[in-house]
Amino acid sequence: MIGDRIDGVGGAFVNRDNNKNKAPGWVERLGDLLELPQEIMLNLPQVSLVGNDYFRIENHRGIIEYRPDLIRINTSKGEVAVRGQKLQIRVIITEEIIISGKIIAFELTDWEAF
Amino acid sequence: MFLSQIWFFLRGYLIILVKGPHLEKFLNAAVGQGVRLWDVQRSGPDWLLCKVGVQGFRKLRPVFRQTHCQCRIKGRIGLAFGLRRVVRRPVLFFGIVVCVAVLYVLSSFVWFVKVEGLRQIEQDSFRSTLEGVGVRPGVRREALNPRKIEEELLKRESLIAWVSLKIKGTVAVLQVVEKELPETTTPQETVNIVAAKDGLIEKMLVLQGYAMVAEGDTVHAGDVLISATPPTPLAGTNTNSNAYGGMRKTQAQGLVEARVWYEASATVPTTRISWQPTGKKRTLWSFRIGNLQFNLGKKPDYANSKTSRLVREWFPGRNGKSFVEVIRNRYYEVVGTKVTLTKSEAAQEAAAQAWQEIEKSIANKERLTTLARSQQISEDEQGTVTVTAVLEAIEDIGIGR
Repeated sequence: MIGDRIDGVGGAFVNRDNNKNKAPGWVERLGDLLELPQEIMLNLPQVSLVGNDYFRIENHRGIIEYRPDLIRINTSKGEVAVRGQKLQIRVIITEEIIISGKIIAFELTDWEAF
Repeated sequence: MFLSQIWFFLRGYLIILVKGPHLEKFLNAAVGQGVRLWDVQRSGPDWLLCKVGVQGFRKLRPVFRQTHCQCRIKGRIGLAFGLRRVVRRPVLFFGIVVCVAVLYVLSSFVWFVKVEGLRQIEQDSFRSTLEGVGVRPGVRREALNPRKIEEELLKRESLIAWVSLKIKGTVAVLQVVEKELPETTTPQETVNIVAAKDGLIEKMLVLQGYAMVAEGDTVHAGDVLISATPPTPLAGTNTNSNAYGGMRKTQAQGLVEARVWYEASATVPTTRISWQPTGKKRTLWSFRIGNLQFNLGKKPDYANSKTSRLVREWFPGRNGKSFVEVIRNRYYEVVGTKVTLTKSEAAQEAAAQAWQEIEKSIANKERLTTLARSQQISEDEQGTVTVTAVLEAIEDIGIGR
């Protein structure tokens, strides 16, 4: 249900990602070989949660929905939804989004299998 | 985060209210332009509050148009806006600068001098001493050198044992500790110790001064025992090799014990008259008004009488005698009978009187150690008995004069 709205509302960057459905290619293998972090090699999202009031995501692809109790963020691999109360975007820039507030859950929807 | 906030405060930032149907689109488009947004608050279904830097806000213009959002600026925060205000109101800025400058200049002076710890020294005289060394309200703080001033104060004020000068802001605080001086007995002249009475020197202890007599000497009342001034050298002696050469005047102090004799005699007649009341008495009242005295009644015609007098003052004034007095005189008739004493009784009485007299003549009993008592009884043809009592004692006879 949540995923239905990806293209409808906030999909500013969604269609620009062309590698989304491809099998592990030579880039992944090169990254493995050189032991480079995947999020850098493949532009994968990186999420960190500090306590229950600081949520940070790097390598996002835009906001799909923003409500005080739900923030949905698009990434190269799928959608990340943060649930909570009095959610607030502390910082939003091209590389990262920091969310504060009382965070209850976050979930990954429509993520493709590796 | 904190550093970036400082950076944005310096550059200046805006609090904007964005209103539109698709606020998520606006956020994504803004980020796509490379604009940093922070403290984004979704306050309603179609509007949000956020902060954006001044540079970023310029880039947002096409984004608003593109996403059909309206924007309203709610606040301008930061140093850049403050500076702009200053540029717009130069007089205000000038006033602030003058105010700060005046405060700075005024704070470089000492305005108050606080003195702590004075007990013997008068506050006023100490303050004038302080002014002498340059500590006074209105002097520049840099002009004061606390170490030098402390030294100078110690030199100028002899009663100070220690002093500290600290400059706290515009207050110069002086902490003073005064010297604990011994009780000074400083008579104007030099003091010799002289003999209070005649005696034979038994023991001498010179604490200060120059001994003028030796043990075994006989001295008379008023003789100098310990001198405050060195004795003048004998004529013809070399003053340089003088035993007292270079000696100075001093206050004589010491203990001089001497053997002294107290003597007193008393005479008691063997026959005398003893007066006894007969029982007859009469009371006589008188009034005195001003200088006039009125007697009521006559004096009795007793051959011998004793009188008692009682004065009662009426309307006593605040000072001196009262104007009206009532006087009661009582006359008692007495009759004399001849009493004869034996010689030993008379001698006993005379001895008692003589010893009492000696006791009276001793000024300070604590300075005296009794060695011996003796008495001599003599009688003459008229029937009187005389007793002469002698007390021999050791006494400290030195007195300062």
